[in-house]
Amino acid sequence: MAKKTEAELGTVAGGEGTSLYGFQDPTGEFPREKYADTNESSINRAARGAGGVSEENIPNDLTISASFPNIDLGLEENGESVTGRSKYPYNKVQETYSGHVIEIDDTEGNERILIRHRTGSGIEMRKDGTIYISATQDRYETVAGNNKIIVEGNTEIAYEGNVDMWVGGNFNLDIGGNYNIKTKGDKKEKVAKNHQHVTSGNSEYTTKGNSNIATMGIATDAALGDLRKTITKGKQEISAEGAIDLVSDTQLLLSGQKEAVMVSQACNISGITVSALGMKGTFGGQTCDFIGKSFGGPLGPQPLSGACFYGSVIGTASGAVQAQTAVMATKAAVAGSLGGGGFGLPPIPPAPVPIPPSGPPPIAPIVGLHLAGGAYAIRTVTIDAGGVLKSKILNHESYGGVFNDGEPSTEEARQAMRDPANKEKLAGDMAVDGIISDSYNESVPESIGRTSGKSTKDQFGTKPVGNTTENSGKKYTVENDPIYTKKVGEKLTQEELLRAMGGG
Amino acid sequence: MIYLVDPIYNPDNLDNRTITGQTKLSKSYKIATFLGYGASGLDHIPFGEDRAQIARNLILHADIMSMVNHDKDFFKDVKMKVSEGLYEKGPTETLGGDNIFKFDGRMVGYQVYNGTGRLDLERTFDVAAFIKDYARYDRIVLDYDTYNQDKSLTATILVKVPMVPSTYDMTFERNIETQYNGNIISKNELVEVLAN
Repeated sequence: MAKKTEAELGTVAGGEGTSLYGFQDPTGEFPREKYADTNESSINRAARGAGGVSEENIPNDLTISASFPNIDLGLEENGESVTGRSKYPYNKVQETYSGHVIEIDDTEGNERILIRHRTGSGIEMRKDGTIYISATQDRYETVAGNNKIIVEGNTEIAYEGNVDMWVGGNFNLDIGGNYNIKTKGDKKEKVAKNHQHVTSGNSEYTTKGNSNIATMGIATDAALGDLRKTITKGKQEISAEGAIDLVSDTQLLLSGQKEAVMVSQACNISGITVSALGMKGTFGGQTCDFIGKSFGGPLGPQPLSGACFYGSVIGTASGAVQAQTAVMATKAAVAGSLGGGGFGLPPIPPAPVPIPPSGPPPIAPIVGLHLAGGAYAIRTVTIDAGGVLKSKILNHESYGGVFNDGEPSTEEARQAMRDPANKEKLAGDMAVDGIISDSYNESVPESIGRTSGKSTKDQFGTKPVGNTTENSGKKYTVENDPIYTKKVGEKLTQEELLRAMGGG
Repeated sequence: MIYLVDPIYNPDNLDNRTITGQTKLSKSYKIATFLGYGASGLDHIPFGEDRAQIARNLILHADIMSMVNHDKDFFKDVKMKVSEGLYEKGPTETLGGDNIFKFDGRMVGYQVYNGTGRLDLERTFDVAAFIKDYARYDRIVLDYDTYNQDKSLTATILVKVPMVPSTYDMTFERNIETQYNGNIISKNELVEVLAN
């Protein structure tokens, strides 16, 4: 209903204070103009269950201006709003000039309280006791004292912007279940004092890039079980400006398949039993001393029978003794025949008894066997042959390195498949893994609705032009636009479907 | 045509090195708005000039978002949100398809939510038709898919703008198409696919 003139309202002398229309709102705001347009009761629509401040037939509701795909606010059931219809006279409605609304509804089955700002912000208590609070702009909450929140069910929170928390005291989390963090960006922790990490079960750290641990003080790794500290596919270096002690209470094994080198200005190898075996090479140096039994030379018919010895020996070898004895005997015989004084035969020392080696002779076949197997064999090291483990950890194997995280969400999969090559390569695996449905390859929808062509249409020109309150002739109505030939839910014929898909 | 840009938000008026997710593209939208479910930030774009190019491209998208979300008449009941923003390629991925355009901010995917926070398929078509008629773009793809594990229908409006030069002098091709599960079902026409 249009605003009344002063004469109509009776606020001028001619009207003598009496309204032409009887009891009514002296400001002319109520009932609303739109009520007059439809010739309906002047009782508030919300009280009659006939609509709300903004729309006919749509009850007053809060404006839910924020949403998140994975969070269901429970505002719909089967696509319909769960807000029920009020019945007169059970809904007490207060609507102000600007559009603020307070509803206290006692309608059976729709008992609720609504306090709604004209912007749609407000609070609503629904029939089952559920409370909705909505802010169409910012929301601020301050507590001078303590704040306690108890939630018996689950909590879902989605922040689409940043979250900053300042905690002046301690920040304690006591979690009954798992504690999972997933970030697409970096994770940085800065601890001013000490950092303690205690795990009662197992610990596992996987770094897909490089890992650097720098300790300025003493670094201690203690294992009361086995310590298999480093398994390295590439080169490993241990360097220390100070001493390095490798100490074992039982066995210390160093094996290099190609070469093992020990170099030092003073290199000491000591043991009750010491073995240095090889097929060839050099042992000793120009001023090295050797103490002990010596065997050398090639293999003979019997062990060591072909051995010979090269070099200078101080002393008398047994052969030389025998030769010397023979010479002396010859000289004695010659002297005797000449009638000279007889000295008799010189003493002949006993033949030396060879002392056998304490172990098998280190001939080439024995050394070869020694290196090839057994406790002292050269160790063969193979780590992640073919890079299978690395590929598995990086998840490159399953999804071709398309995702930073090996377990993509459906949303991430949807984005990646904007590249047809990714779809062809990954969709099958992702469907098997349950990331996307197995209907990903369906190419024709079961039903379609409206169509809109390329040409521009002014189908949205519903906003009144000019001062339409006074001159509704300027308001224009959108005609049935040919591009919206079908209503929602109305299926196209096969012919129309083909035309819509470019086939006709 | 030369696209008029508010000098306050023109990235060419900024030091390239200061362009971050917090850089504003319009009164309401920052670059962070267009990160969507994809990139976690701009760390993967190390060079300032590349960031400036992304910001210029996204300015057109910020205008498109404002057109829809600030419309208090026709679209007062819905909210258009970025579902596919800047694309960050995987460790061994070679960019291809439309992800090339999403990588530099030329293409952005939008989804339309209603007042109850649900994806609104019906209004998605309305918004797509509105953008088609009133926005400046190179290509609009009204994309439907059944990738969700429950096979429910998801609608995404993919809008591609041209590579925006620092002169902001460019042309718009205004092509449209409809896709279903990545297959083109209609060229030069937006087709509304109905949920079963």
